[in-house]
Amino acid sequence: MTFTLIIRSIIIYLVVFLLLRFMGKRQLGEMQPFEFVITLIIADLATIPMAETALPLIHGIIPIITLSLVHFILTFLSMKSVKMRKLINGKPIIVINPNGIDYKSLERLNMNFNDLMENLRGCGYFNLEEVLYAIMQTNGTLTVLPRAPFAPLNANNAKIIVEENSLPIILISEGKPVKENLELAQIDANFILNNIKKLHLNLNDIVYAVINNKGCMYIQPKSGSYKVVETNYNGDGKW
Amino acid sequence: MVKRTIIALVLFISLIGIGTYEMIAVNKIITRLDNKTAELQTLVKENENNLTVVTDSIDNLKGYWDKHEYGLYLMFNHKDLSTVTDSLSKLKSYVSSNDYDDAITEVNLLKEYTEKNIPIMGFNLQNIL
Repeated sequence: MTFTLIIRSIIIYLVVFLLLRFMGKRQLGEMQPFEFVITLIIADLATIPMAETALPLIHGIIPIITLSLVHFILTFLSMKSVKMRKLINGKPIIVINPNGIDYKSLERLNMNFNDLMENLRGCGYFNLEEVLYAIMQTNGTLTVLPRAPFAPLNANNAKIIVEENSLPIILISEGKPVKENLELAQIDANFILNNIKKLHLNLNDIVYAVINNKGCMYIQPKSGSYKVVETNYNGDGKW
Repeated sequence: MVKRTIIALVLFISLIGIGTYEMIAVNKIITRLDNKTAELQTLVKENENNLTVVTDSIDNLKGYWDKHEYGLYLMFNHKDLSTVTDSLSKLKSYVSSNDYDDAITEVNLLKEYTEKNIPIMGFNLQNIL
């Protein structure tokens, strides 16, 4: 019986794993209500045939596949039709507007003042005065637009011209060059080796190394503090 | 999205396939089992004083069941399937000992069971509710 249980558990795990992959990547906190419901039911359904050996495995797998298909159809409909999206996902609700808290909206959301304040504090706002708009999104997260005096200062506000950022690309991970990224950045292994030799390091000594398109290489060795190396690499616009 | 749609279609077709197989093939096996049990029931009733003549029919029924039982494990609750196997074994021993009362009770139970299980496999409102 033990081996039966082991094999059944592995089969169910693989089925649920593959179907969740099929359903798409979403973090738990970002789930829409219908996705949350389906995930809960699938979790419950998966455990029944896993432990109950008298039940055919298919009795557990069929409902799980059916729910995945329902999920696929609902996702497809919400992608293709705005009306369906509103019906399936609901719509964002403004809970704070320039006049203050909208109590009717809070009631519609089954939220109280404390829930709202907790969410605001989670967003980094401890005072209602700082908030111009707060919107409860369909996935249950609160997004906040602060009043201008309380908004973080950025280069645009300060009328400063700054250089565009670039996405750093990982060259070495856990002592191994990341081939895909080397190809993407059009960097060869010798380039890395030459630059890390300057620091008296070997590939195996490095946990993580990244480079940006200005040629600045950030290297984190396994021991000791991180190092920054300015290289002659100019990968502007390559990724 | 195209890849997902293809996977969804494959899954959908698989579900329909399993459902259809269950409705047709499994239903056929259970119906046949029910018919054979009905024949056996009549034979047992007709041969109250000499049950040994129905031994061949029981062997025939048991042979049929043994042949199809394994495939049914895929669709049926395993406990329900062992009920039929147990019932057939009991029936065989009652017949060989010429115990009419127990044999007729057992064959009636088996008939009742096979009759009940035919609608369970089907697609009907009763099952949905």
